[in-house]
Amino acid sequence: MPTVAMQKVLICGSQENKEAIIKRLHELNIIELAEIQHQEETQKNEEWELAIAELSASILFLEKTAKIKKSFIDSFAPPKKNASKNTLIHAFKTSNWQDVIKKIKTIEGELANIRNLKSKLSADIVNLTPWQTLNISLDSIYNLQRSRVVFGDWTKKSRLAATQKLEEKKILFEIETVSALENKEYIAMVILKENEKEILEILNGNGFHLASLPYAKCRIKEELEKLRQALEEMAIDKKELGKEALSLSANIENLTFVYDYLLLKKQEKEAKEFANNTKRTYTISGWIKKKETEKLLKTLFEVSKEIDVIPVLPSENEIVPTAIENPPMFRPFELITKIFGVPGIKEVDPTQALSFFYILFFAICLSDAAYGIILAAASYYFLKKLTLSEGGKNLLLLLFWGGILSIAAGILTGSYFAINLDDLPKSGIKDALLYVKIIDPVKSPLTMLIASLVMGVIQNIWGLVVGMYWKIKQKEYLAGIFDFGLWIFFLLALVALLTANAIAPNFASLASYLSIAGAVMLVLTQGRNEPGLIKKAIGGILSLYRTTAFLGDTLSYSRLLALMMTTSIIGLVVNILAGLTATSIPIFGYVIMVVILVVGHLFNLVVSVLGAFVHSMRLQLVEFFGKFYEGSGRPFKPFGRETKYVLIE
Amino acid sequence: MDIGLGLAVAGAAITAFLGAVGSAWGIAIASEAAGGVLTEDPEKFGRVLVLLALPGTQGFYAFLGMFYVMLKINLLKGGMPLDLSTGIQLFFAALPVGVVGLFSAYYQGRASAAGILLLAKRPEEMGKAVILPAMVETYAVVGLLATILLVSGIKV
Repeated sequence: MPTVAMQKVLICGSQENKEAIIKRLHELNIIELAEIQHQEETQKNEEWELAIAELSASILFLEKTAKIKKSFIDSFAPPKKNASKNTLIHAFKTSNWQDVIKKIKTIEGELANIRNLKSKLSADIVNLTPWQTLNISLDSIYNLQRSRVVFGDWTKKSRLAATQKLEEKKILFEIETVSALENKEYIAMVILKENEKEILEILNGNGFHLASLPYAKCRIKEELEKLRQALEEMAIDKKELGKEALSLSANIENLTFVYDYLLLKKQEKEAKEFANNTKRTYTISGWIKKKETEKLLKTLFEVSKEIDVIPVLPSENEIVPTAIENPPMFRPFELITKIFGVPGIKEVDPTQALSFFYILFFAICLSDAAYGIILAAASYYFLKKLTLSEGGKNLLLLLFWGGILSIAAGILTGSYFAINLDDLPKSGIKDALLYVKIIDPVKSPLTMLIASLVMGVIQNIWGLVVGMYWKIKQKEYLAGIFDFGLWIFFLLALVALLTANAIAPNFASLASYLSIAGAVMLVLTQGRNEPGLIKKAIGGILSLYRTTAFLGDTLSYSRLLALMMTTSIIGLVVNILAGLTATSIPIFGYVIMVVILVVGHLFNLVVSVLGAFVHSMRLQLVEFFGKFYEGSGRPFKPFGRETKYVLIE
Repeated sequence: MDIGLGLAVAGAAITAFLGAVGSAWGIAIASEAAGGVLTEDPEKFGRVLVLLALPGTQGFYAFLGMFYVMLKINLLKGGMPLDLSTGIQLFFAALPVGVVGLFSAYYQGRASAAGILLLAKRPEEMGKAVILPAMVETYAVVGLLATILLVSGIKV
């Protein structure tokens, strides 16, 4: 399980073939381009950047207009179409994508205008509606000689207060109530111009809201009519625009092709900036899997004869990227390793070491045969149906195998849709199912807890074994034997002591001697890197505290029991609820029962799978990796085609 | 007139209540962050949903704890008579999953919100975003285990 050997190479060629070589590298997807020190002034191709952004916006807009629904699954793994590079080039060169973008931009602009105007008109209509009974032309009130008309609204209470004040001051005024709504009165007040300031002050002080009516050469009713008409026209315009947009939606596919084409172009353009140039030649350096060096030279030779690939030594501070490779069976589990971080150059790839435990724990957490079948079938279906990225495929494969193993776990725990086997009518099948059932986690949680902890102990020690193997392989014999081997011995002795105390007291004293021997050896060796005898001794004694860490790690595996019970008890509740409705509600009871069963079990399945996935992963990342793994590597990212909509054949 | 049975039911009810409230709280916190992320990029809905559903498990753990007590006292078929001491035992045994659920769901909601924000900027780091809130959930699991072991140990 070592990582793949990497090689740094220098590609040298003549300027004439630079473009073609970069294109070929892009296709090959096997070399990670290395940054160069003195970068020439990089000029961003802003035209493309802009086109890409516009295309993306246009595609989104058209998808929205055409109401292209994306399923829930799509949001995890957006589906990609298969297309050849030539199709993309064809779409870019021959289709009228620029026109389409332009048109969409105009439509979007007009739609935005309509939205703004619409909200303004609607607001005007709301403001004018209380005044529609005012039976005068609006321009007439603006041209009065000595008087003025004030419009506004107030409550009855403020009317009383205000009029009282006005009368006290002996000011002339005349009020006409235009309309009344609940507690509000909309009024027109005729006053003399010379009193205006004083009156307005009184009104404002008493809760009067001044309204400004628009200047128009018609009555308010007519003005309202005009506004409504404008709104209607706008609705028609909007419909027209919508139709136009819809007719453009036939271009979505072409736009996605052009988008991906430009994306590829951009990547190639960026790759050129990794080249060191002279007038006639260039060099590009990068990382490649050692075994692919030959292949690289050969394929590049097909492009041009004026090319060479030279293996070089990395500079001192350069970090070698890590690529991991496992047999196909273990490949899905690389997902878990990658989530934590790929191994550094001197680390072991833990993928294979964790695979068995991961899938076992997943099955224990889900532990229902029926759920296992559904999960495996669904994963298989999506694997076949969807075009997926590497990660998506691995995820589904994990779920598929998790489902398969859950069937076994479900059979052993006698769980099928959480139905209690004892309740089944007497039959040969029942007896057979009961025969293969070995434990019921709901009835005997203690046994299951112990089983979980035992699995924890096993994986803890397994982690130490992997660590020891790797240290010894790296020829760090002392570290391998003292830091891992002794701990394995000590932990095994402690486990033996515990077991002996519980079931075979005769061996207890032997086991305790072994434990003490282990502890003494740890004290003697663990402080060996400290300077001075006293520090060595202290370091050795303190190292024994690591036992508590092992204890904590082991207890953490008790979650297996908890998750196992969650699945079965929630399933049980669903069944009980369904049973209750079937018997207590006449006629429709059975319909409701079916609904409860389907929805309830589906829900339980989703929640349980999520729990099983996350918690078994955590046990690997925290408890297992903690023993021997840092994940300090930098992942190898080869220069390849990254597209959004299309999978290039 | 059976105080023991009453206490056991009370413990089960309180624990279900606390856990469910905690989950609602935690999910609400995560949803606030999710809403912000979704305004920018609605296509992340599926992945965001997974993250904001994580604090939802506490409610079910508590519910499970409640149900475990119900099974213990055979409440589905009317319940069995319990003496006062057993009732008190069951009352307290039911509590860990609910009380721990309340607080852990709240904090897991915050961790989920952080994960959602992480997802907004680095959508490819879904795995790490899920692991962070899962660390908090560990202690909800501990609470559940405590309740299960305590309840299964009580003699009725």
